[in-house]
Amino acid sequence: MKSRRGLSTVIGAIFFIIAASSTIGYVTYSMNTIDKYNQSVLEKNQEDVERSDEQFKITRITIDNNKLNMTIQNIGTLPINITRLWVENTTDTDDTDRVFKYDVKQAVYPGENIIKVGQNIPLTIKTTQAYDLKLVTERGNEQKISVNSANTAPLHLQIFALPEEVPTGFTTTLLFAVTNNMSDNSVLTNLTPNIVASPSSGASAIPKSSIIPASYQVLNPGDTAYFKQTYTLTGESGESVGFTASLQNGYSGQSVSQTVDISIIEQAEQSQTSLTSAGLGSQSLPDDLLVLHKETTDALDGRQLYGIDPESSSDTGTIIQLDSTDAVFYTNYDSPLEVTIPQGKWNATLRYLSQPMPDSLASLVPGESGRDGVIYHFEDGACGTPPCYVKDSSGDSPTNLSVPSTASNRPTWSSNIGPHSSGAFSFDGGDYLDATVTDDTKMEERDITTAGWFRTSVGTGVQVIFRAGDDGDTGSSGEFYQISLNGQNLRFNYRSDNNSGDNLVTCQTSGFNYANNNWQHFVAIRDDHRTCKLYINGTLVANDNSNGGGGNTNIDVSGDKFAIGRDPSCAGGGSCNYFTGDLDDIIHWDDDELATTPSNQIDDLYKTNFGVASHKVTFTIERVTSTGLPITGGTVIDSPSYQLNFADGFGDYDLTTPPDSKWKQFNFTGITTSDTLVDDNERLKFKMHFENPADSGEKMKMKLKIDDQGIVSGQLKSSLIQMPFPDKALTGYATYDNSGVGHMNVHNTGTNGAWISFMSRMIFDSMDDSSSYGALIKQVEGRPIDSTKDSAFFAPGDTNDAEFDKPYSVPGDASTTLVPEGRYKMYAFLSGYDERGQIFLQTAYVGVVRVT
Amino acid sequence: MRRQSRHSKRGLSTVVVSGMLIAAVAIMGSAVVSWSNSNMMTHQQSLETTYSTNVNKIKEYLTIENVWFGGTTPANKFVNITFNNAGSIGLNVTEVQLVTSTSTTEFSFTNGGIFPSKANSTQESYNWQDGVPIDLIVTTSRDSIFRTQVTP
Repeated sequence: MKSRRGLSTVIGAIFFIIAASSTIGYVTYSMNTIDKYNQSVLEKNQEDVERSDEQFKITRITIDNNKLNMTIQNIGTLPINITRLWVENTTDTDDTDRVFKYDVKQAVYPGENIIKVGQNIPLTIKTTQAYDLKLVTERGNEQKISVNSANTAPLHLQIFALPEEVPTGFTTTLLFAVTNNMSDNSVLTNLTPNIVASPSSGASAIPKSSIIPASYQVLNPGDTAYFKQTYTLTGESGESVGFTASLQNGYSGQSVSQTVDISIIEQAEQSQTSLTSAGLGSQSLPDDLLVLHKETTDALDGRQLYGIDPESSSDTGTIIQLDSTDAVFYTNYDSPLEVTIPQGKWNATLRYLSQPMPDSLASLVPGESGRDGVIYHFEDGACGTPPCYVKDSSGDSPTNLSVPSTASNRPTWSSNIGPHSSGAFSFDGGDYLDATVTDDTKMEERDITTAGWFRTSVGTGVQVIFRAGDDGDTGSSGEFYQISLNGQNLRFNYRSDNNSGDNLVTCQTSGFNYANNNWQHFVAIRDDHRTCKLYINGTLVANDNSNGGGGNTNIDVSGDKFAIGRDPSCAGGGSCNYFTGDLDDIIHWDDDELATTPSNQIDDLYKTNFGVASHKVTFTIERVTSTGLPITGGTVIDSPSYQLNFADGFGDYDLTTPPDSKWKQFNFTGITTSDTLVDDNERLKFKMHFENPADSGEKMKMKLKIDDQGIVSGQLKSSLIQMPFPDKALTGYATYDNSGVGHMNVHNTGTNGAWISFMSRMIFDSMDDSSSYGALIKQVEGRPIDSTKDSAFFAPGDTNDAEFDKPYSVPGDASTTLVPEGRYKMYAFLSGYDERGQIFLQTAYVGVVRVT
Repeated sequence: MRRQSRHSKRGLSTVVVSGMLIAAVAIMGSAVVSWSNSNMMTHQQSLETTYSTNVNKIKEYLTIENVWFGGTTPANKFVNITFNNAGSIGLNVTEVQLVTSTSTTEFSFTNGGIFPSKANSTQESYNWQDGVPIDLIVTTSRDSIFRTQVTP
């Protein structure tokens, strides 16, 4: 019996085990299935997250040789695989030639770019037609962009002339603004402006510059592109020049226009003799012009501001070091006097000059320090027929870099492609610039430094950025000094002694692709004959002092060439190693001492802006009391942080007193939306305050030139403000004491000598035109003039003092009313004849004079 | 002898009964095990199907990569649609609907299979109107629906 019960138990156990294992198996399977499902859901979620995290943009698009050329940047955190490009021609109506699909299959890693997308597809872009492009990623995301679509709908166009009224020989700057207000939110590309001048009969308009920039590559929705061009206008008063601006590939028939009037400063133009009456030492200008004078008399803590030309033709004005001194100017005041200036544009036309290097480096690098070396800012690309040169801004025996005589070897200069929208040269892989090594270039010193900016997308082979050394300086022999790209790495190497071994010193980056088509700043330092240091974007990336040596410490390249963009030994049959890309601000000097404290000079070099925001200035125009105190609500214009371009003087001049040709010009414009009332006993105060750039590197010093002679001549040599035309002239600083006789400087600006006769007069016209007074001429240079005697001979260029009687209501009759105290418009009437027997009769408006 | 005989009969009966019991238990146990296994297998298959259907549907991801309109007359106007399978499994487009404020047009497909990371284009006659927005609704064989809006 025991045995049978045991058998039954076994059988039951077997069934239990079977049942239990089946159940456990099923539950386990179910759990596994649920787990796999959960995994699938998680994977799907991950894909969705990655899809939404995928971000890229088309940063640049051009049409090169009728082929698309796009640069695509991955701005997300995940690698992206661009799979397809769709191109739809929105102009062509032929369905068989309208939509194209191309496989791209290019990966873009986070933060990096791929370039030249579209160059290898078999699509020929017609520049007269519009295209919609779409890039699709492997995850299904897409980016759209339109090409040449400015012609699909009208855009918001504006044109501004600064100033709108100029004397003959002056310049006006046209600003053509194009706003992308396309309703489909598309990006516009290749906006190419066209500005046409249409002078009235007798007037002329000569472009002083090309349109800058020549085109806008990409204009995002809502953004505005500004194009600038400066013209020199000449003509008679009352003539004008019309300017019409449009887009070359814009909407049919759409354009904007602006007229610039020419107003001439009155002067004698009889018989080719020009006698300018410089009343009370000055010549007047129209009431809307205020000249920045150097004189400080009665101008509180500033200088005089009024509508009178500089004192004499030989006056060269004064220079204000704006980075250390505020430029403050006041008009004069009077009572009772109310002047209303209508709302509108205020233009300050100023002459200034930038220091070649930032303040913290001025004592180290070439320029004001007196050190030797070269500074190539590449801010001037003008070169006619070679031989011609790239200008050196070092200021000490500048070395002019030769532009090759063969056109295909010349790099292309652009005014705004540099790292701060500055001028820069583009090298196409067969271009270069070179010069002969001299003592002044300091290529062979023991301690030398080279800095500059480079940008390339080519990451193969050796590409020379800067090299000194000539034939034979290749391989393991020869002495040379070179900064180059070696594949994707930047390399700085040199050899100072090839007589005792290799002695090659090399610093080279690794692990980062510097051929990424972004601007990179380098500083290469040679400290003795063993040490090299290489900085990129302010950071030390390579250094070495374990090699080199030998007996020679200096690099023997005297008499050889140094070149930018290739190995100069190329000319002798050596390797050329041409550079493909862009270069800017190549600076080389004879020192290795760049400090890191208190200011990091390497970082300063990297951050200094040699472009469109080199300086920042706050412009303020306000009404103040007669004593200069602020008035509540007196601010007319307050424009902080106004950016000024780098104005390179190209060195080779006395930095203390640069010659006229070095000064650059810029226009500051402020707009008032209501009339400005300058009330009794009020002045206008104009102030320029230099700001230290907080975010763009080191302070760049700048000089401001004021009160120079020649404001009426073709070349603007001084600085002035043009405001909306007031109802009457603001009070100036010219005065006449009616207890004495009047004196006037008369200057012969013509080419013929002349005599002045007794018919000449000085006239005072009251501001309300209610009364007038005249004064007879009495003598010139102490010699009496009357009906029997004329003045002494005025040779061309002479300035003589003319004395007039007191002004009476009946000129010459002392029994009539003497001109009372008050404000008058003063005129000079000059009568005479020149050495060729031609008469001249001239009336010159001298300006507003206060009679005391 | 009598005792022996009586004893022999009781022993035989017990054995038979025990055998019958064992057989009965074995048969019933086997039946229960078979039934339960069959039942679990059915559930397992059902779970497998549910899992596959849901997971595959989740993994489906289709983008309507490009749509363009051609033709100039009602007779030759057409729409060209490109689908991109951006998911990780193949899918089958079975129907496309073009819906405007006034009309609905359906296109059915029997050969709309698209492998992962591949694109497929189809061109259908369609009398589109310039400037009239169209809702484009795509249905797959797994009943996933993807939609976008386009304007000729």
